Amino acid sequence: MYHPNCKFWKIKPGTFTPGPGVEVVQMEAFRDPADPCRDKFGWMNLRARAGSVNRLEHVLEIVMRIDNTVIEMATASEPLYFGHSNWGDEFNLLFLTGDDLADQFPARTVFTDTETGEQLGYVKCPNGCMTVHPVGISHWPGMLKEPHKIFNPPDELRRKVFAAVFCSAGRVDYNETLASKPSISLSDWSHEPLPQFAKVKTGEIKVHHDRPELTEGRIGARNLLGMAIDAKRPLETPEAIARVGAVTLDFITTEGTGGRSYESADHSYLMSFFGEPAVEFTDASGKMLAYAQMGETDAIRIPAGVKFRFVPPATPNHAALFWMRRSVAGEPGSGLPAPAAGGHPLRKVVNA
Amino acid sequence: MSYPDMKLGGFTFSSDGVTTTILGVGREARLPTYWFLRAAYRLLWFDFQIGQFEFYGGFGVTNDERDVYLLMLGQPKLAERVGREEARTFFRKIYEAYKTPGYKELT
Repeated sequence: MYHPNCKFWKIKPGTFTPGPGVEVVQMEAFRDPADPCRDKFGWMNLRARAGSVNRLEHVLEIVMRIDNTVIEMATASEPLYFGHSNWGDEFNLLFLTGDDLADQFPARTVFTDTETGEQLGYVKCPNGCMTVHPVGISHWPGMLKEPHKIFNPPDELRRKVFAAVFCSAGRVDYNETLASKPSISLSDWSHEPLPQFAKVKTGEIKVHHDRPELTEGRIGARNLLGMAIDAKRPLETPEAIARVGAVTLDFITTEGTGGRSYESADHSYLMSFFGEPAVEFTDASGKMLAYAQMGETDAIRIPAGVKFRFVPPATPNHAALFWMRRSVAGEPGSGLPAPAAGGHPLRKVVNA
Repeated sequence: MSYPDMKLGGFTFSSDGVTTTILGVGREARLPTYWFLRAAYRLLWFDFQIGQFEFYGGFGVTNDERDVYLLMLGQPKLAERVGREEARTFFRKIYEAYKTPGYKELT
């Protein structure tokens, strides 16, 4: 049973099948300084969690954590009523809900000066995008113009949306938007949809600078849905789309035919953003630990050292996922130098 | 219905049931009481540990490991330090005192 304002959401969790003796637990929100269940496989459907009946709006619940870097979830059926400046950069993943009306509404995030409150710029984009909230600048998704007119429609007319924020829960040593040479892109480019997605509406991103000298190259957005269905994007080629502290968020597309495997020395989290990928999990010796036929917005916590690879799903489809993992040697924020042999550090570590 | 004026440190809060006015450090911030209540409730939920937290109208709150700072944004930004427990107690009280008939938090 879900919240009545989520009645148009498409909530269809997948299945997670552990092997003999393998424990899997339902992922829950937590306030501990570390994920209390990080040694176990975990499972959660983000839409189902966001759509639960008693969940308070506009509270940020931590559901994933590596060090001080977290994923926090929030839901909303009215504009946010506070501005905020965090300890570090934030990357706001505006997940699709499956409710076409709610998903296509262009939401505006306003950026302001933390001292004066002066507007510095804004980003406007619909669900299916990621907005960047740089450290040192306040951000206010849905900020109303003066006189801040109250938005209070009848309960039955409200439509909920939800977001997962990749950010820090305390001070971190590395912030991408302060880097002299950013290692990720904070701006979007054109996408060419695969033929089967020619009719998918990916929405538009508008970035406005009132004070470009303070916001150019720091505020921005990416069209995740456009990236997910982009014909030019090579399959199973992770792109780091966000970094906070010593943790990286990769974006991966797959059709389950890549045969490549991935692994992190620490626990990590996989989130299905688009489509229904299938994943196999094995230990270092290749022994099968679990199989997941993921639904859209399913999330899996993966214990340290477990390898995973995408396999052909029950019904062939094109999928896109996020992988939240500890940054590896040579990546900005990892605190570790690049391997002497050079080359892309991720490929050296995760290739099968 | 009447709503009492309330003080936290050198800041005075008042409400007529529609608008909340905050006076402090020589400045004034005004915002709809509806949005004041919404934000105050979240501030309590985060237990003040959310970096800089801004209300409509220019009033804000931030914190360090021990204390809470009440802010008025502007040129320059002005702040006054209050104890964390004092702030916690105050915002709980004002949230209850300024609730208007029918007001509810959304799930």
